[in-house]
Amino acid sequence: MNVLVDLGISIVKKVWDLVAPEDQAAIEAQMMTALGDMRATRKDTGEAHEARLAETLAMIAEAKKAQP
Amino acid sequence: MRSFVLTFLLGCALALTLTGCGKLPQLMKVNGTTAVAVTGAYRGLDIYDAKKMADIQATVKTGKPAEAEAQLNAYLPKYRIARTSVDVAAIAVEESALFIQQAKLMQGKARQQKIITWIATLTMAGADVVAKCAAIGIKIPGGAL
Repeated sequence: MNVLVDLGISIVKKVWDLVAPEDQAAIEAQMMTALGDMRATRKDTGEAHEARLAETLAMIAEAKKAQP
Repeated sequence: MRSFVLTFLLGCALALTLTGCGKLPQLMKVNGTTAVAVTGAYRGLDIYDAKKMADIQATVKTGKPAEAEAQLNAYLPKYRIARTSVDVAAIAVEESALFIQQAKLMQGKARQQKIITWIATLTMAGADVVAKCAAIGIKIPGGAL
């Protein structure tokens, strides 16, 4: 009897996973938000690094030229 | 009757387990968590890079451009290794997000296996990001994988 009860509970849980689309939709929405944030941050930080590198290289080149 | 009910329930449990539907939300959660960690890694690397470049520029301003250039040449490969690792993790997140859309149309054991494989891939990619960032002294802000 206990086996049947455990099985019943297990099936109810699995059916709940299937029929609770709003939970999956909410999880997916959170995932998409995180994805968007990641894409924006990847782009912004890449551009920021390139800008800093260009500035630093320019400063080094200028300083070398100024040296006797 | 009892054995019929038991067999029926066992069959239902087996069918539901094999559909793997319950695992897709898990992959979505892992994907989202990894995306958050990768974002944190990009931000941590950005803060680190800003500080390093400022230090190198300060060296230039003290009239030592050759020394500054040497510092830059020593620093850039380390930055690029860390950045590449984070980019690889970002690509894994993107590809798994693409797979998630495809998985909605799939069924069966192959689907479940691919979901499990993606969860493992994302977990390893995230761990690699943490390790590569830690190797150059970066702690990912906001946390943990």
